[in-house]
Amino acid sequence: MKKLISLVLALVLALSLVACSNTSNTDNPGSNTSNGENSSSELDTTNPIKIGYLAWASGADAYMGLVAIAALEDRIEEINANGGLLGREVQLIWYDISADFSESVNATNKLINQDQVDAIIGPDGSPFAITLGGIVEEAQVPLLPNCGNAEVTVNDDGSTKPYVFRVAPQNALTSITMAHYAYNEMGVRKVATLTESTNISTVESADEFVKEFEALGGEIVAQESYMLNDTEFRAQITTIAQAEPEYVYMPAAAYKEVCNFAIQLSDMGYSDSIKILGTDAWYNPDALAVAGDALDGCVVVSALDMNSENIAPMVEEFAEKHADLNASLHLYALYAVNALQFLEYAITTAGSTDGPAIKQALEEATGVEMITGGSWHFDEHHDPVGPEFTILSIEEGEAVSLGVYSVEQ
Amino acid sequence: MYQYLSGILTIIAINVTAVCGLTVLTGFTGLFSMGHAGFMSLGAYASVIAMLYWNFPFIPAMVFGGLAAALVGLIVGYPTMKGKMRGDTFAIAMLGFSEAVRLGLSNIYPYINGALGISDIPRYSEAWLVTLIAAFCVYITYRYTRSKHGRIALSIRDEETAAELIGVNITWEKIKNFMISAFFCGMAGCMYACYYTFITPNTFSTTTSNNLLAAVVFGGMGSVTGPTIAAAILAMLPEMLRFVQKWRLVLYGAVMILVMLFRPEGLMGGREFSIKGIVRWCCKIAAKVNRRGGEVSK
Amino acid sequence: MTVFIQQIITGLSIGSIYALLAVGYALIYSIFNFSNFAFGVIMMVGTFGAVYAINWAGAPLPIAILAGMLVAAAISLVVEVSTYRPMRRKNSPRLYLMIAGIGINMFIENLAIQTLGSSVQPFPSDWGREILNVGGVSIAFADLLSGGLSLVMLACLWLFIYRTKTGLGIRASSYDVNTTGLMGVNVDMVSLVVFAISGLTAGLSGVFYGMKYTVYPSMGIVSNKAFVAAVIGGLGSLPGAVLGGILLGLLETMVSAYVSSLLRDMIAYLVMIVILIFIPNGILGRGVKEKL
Repeated sequence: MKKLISLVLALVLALSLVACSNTSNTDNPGSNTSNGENSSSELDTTNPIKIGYLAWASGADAYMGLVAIAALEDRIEEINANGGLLGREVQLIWYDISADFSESVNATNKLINQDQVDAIIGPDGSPFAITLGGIVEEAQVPLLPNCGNAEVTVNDDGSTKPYVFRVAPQNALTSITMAHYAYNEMGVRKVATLTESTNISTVESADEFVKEFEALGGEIVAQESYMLNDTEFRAQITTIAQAEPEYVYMPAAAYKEVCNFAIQLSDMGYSDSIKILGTDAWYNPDALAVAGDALDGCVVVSALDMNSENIAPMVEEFAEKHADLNASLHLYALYAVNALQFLEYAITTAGSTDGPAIKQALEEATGVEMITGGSWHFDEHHDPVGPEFTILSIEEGEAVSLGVYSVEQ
Repeated sequence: MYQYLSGILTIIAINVTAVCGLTVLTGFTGLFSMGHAGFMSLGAYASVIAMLYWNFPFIPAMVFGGLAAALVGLIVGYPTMKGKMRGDTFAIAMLGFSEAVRLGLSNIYPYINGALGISDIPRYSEAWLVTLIAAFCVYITYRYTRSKHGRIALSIRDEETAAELIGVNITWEKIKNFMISAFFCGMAGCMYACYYTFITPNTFSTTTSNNLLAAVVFGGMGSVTGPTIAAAILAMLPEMLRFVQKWRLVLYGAVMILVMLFRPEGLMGGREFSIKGIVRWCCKIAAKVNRRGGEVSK
Repeated sequence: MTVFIQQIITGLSIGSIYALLAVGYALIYSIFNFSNFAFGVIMMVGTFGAVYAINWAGAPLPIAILAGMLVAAAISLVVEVSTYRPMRRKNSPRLYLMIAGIGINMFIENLAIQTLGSSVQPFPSDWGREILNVGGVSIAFADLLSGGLSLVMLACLWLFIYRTKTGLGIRASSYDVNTTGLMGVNVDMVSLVVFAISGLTAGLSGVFYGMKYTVYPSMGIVSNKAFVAAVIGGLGSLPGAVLGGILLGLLETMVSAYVSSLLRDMIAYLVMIVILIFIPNGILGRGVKEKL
């Protein structure tokens, strides 16, 4: 019996391996046709435009990808209901990349080779996006990652990766804006930083902030760090409190850490003297729900204004429609939606789904109206021009927009 | 199509190389480690430095990475083996070691750029090349475990005191096998770096260590071909399970439990994979079926 | 000085969580001689049990804690009966049980992520966040409570193991499971009791962890630290597990406070390795011969 079971198991493995290499494009189970019978009759469903998405859809931070997938699918449904693109149906094919580092390469190869997608959105983490430049260049498929490190779009020698277009502002820009706002507008002079010591995004953000803030004349009084999965910050808080900063700059990668830090800060009685400067990397309506009033007084710099007339209804609508996800619409999902918008524009303008044509259309775009507000385009390094930084202040558990702020060069 | 499959093949080859090392340590010497990702990390960094700063070609850089990892293996192995560490204690010490490596590398900025990682590593890891290297590693490991060194290792695994009594220098044998495992993992780390073209200290995590250990256990202790096949299957599994989308890792965990439940002695259970063995196995199954068929007809 | 005392208090508070979790590890290890790597998810499931008891059923906190502990004990028993026991029957080496534990961990954690969502939620009770301020040193009420309850739990455990008949069976099994079975002790029953107790401690520590911090499906990862603590203290020794947990908590906090928070884990782990080099069985560990 045991032998039989193991034989069956072995057969299943072998079969699925064969299936894995032979899956034809039409019955790909990874595809999510968003719109079925109610599409308009002219819509060409036989030859859909395929958009790939590299999602962080399982593991500890699965909400990052799952929310974005839902937002993208909603948007694609809308596009298809309005007749699709170039008269063709749009299809989203997403793959999870959370199990291992190498997965982003494997998933990209699969999207390009097997599903033959026309463009790829994501991933939202820099370590996963940096390596993809060469692959998409070879295959001539545009990649629109929504993450912030400089190396995502630029090679070490300073040349731009031709097929990579970033749809989120650079970490450096976010940090510099925060430094200027804190120094010039808020009159802050003493800041401490708290970073996740092995996370590329938080380390880069903090480095840029320290550099800029010190150049402006401010003082960095303490530089503390924590590890991935840490929940305990009281040791760091005690050390930071001794240095007596006015604010702590915390460019965390997830809101969990910030919430725990804020809660412990307020529990230890420092919440009146020390506040948090945050970034949009973690800012999320859910953070306010978890931390409650502990985040009061916190100032966040965000490339999209969640309270704006464009975005606020989207957040509400999303919460209603996708209550089962238990997570609210976040910034990275909005970036992904913006990426889709860019593709929509480029495909319509170019009139084809050819990689080089899309790339050219993206490069030549002078202003694409974003669903999130504003008009964006790409500069010569394929960084987005147009996102305006909004300063949010958290007061009594609510984020209040203090208006747009930009650094005068 | 080609690129996707060759990518998976590369990952398989990298895993197989690393598992070759671990099977010497765990399957034959009986020490299990939860931190061999640390050696992959060290090997990757050492070889990348050799390639980017000293212009080493791929193969010498890979060997250099392996040697660097083996050297660290000696430094770590000597006190731990001398201190008679084993079992869970050794596993946890290795977990601590790999975490220490990760944090250490994250904070060294000259040459390796700390937590920001090294990008633009040349993509040398062609599928055919790494597959050849992996096959060579499997062969070397096979020969090694069939030599007197392998027998000595088995004697340490099964009865340490008795092995010591008949004059085996246990400490040295353990250190030697530990260094070999570090060497293979270091080489695998270099191959990984040259496949992914970007490494950070986070690239090789505890999950990597656990997967390596799982491959050795799935394959069967005291077998070389078993873990090789298991490593290949484990590397493919996440890709094969893509059809369940977000339930992928749930299923991966379930498969792990089921294999352990139904093949508690591992895939090969200490035997080696060979054509002869398959034929014998098929005959046995056939005989069983025959017998059962006979019973029914009565 | 106040700062120093504050750091000590912080260390003790983290240590108490590690200690409670490590006891659950050590208990199973002392009898079955393997590390239960499914411990993290058992703790997580228990915590969610308590959270839902409050959110859905509106249970008061003590009832919710009890519910969490019972849920954790139940899942612990399910794991034992469905996986560990059949594997032990087949005489699987203990390393195999550990790998199966990793599999269970992965399975349940990801199942929770996909069904409950990976978002973080606060524990629905503010009670644990009350702060006592003693001479400039702030002590969270939850810390006192978790420290106190951990002691009570340990005392109960001690009484149970050393003063009851079942406890005698457990102690006998920890020397030799097979012989104890031959002597007429119902070893299956003993294993159920042990896994139930281990589940109860996991649930309790999970609820306190959730109360002090936040609740999310991957919170079980903290049990890795508990495993480290159990090894430092000496695997299989209950007082050793407590000692190891407290020591690890203090070590982490002190390194973070007075050396560098950047190198915290690195130094903590290196110190641990050095300790283990000199006392390979852990501080209070028994010198047992281990085989794979």
